Amino acid sequence: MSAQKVSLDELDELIDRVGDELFAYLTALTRDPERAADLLQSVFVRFIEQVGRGRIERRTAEHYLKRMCRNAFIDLTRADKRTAALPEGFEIPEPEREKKIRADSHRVRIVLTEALSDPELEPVVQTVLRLRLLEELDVGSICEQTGSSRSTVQRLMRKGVAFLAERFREADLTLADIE
Amino acid sequence: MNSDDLADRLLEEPHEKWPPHLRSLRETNVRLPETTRALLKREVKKAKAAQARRTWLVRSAALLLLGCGVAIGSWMYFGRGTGMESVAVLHARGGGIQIAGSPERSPKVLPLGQSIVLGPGSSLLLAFGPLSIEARGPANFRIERKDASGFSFAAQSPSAFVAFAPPGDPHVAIEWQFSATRIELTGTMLSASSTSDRRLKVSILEGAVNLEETRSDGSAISRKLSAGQAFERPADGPGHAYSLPPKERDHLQKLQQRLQDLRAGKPVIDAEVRLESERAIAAHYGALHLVTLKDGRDYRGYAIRGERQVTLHTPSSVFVLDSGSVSSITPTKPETESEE
Repeated sequence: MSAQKVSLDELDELIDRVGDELFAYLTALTRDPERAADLLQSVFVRFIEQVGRGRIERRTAEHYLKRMCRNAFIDLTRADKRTAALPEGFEIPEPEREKKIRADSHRVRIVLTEALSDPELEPVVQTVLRLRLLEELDVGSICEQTGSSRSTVQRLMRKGVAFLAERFREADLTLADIE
Repeated sequence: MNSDDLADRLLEEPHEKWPPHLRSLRETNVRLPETTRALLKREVKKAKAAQARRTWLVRSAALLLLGCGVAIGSWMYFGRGTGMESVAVLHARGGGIQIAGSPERSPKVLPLGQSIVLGPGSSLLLAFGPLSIEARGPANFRIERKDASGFSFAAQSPSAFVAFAPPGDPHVAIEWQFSATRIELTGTMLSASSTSDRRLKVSILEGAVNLEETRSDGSAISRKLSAGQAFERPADGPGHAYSLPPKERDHLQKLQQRLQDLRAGKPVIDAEVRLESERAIAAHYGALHLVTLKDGRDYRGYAIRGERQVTLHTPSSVFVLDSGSVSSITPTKPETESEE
């Protein structure tokens, strides 16, 4: 049986459903909302083309979109680098250490952003991480919102950061790279 | 850096003191701006419109191709190179008419190459390209195009055909397979019949007929017949030709007129068909009428009103009434069988 494909008629609903998440994801990667909006638009134009050709499976559409966003960000960073290399033949030498820091910084952003919305992360742990890291609520407010004690919030926070550390290790990074 | 230490630090310290990557996460807690959302949806709308245009074009092209295919197929199927019109049944009467593969007992269109079975007493009058044909049962035959200039009948049982063609080229071949006899007919007004005991009769009003027969014992007979002649062959004899009797000539001419009327869509009376009950008349014509005269008399049968006369087919006879004497013609149903 062939997999169900996404149709153009479903895209408005898809934008409403995942638009905020993708925009936040791209903003986290680019640290620039305007750039994130431009990237999201170019990603969507290509996504619409693929949908029009009947190539996108409904089951994997959201995952595919997110991957497109990440690839678009990586392409953008490469393009930035090429721009910096101009004019031709006059490439500004960049010390290896700084080059590595910049590359690692991009990877840290990708790993960190994706880890926070990783489906393998326990929902309650994800809630505590998001309340603290994204909304910057204090511990008292988090306890109030989650109905948990301080020690539980502390335990969940440690569990969340351990999860982040694990994802960093998988990406050949360390928590020290967050600094 | 220990993950527990980092966790405790994130809980206890204000965000300004967090590591830079974590500090900037706050800035990513954003919603898609409405202007961007609107732009994305506009792209979707444009894509939908483009897809609708493509679909319309593809469908139009498909319809055009389909139309061309049907036109070419019809041309090849019905009248390649001859300018022939579609084969159409004009008139099917009596029971037992079946077209192989057709769910309809009396289809309006008779496809070439399909077998037609006529039960005893059934008749089929049809327009066949420029030809008008009457076929009488019992018969099992098939009409096929033979070549660019004519058609052939292939009959597998006793049958009778009368064919009228306009003067000129049309070429009709009737082949009775059951008697291993092949008859080539090139006349323009002719009739041919074969009976179950293998007797054969051919009548020619106009044109000429070339009769070629090959028997099961291998003997072959070839004979040419001309207009105004009839030919009869017994089951085992060589047969003989003679002048077409005036009565038969008259019958064929009336039949031709009737076929022309049918082609023109006019109702006709089958005077030569014996229909001895109201039910038989209703079954044969598909209708039964009550004709009331101005003097009070009435008749039951199948009536056709002409300009000056009304022709009536009743169980006892076929007769003509003056239109002025008829008060009314109303549809009715057969009376009980005991009264018939």
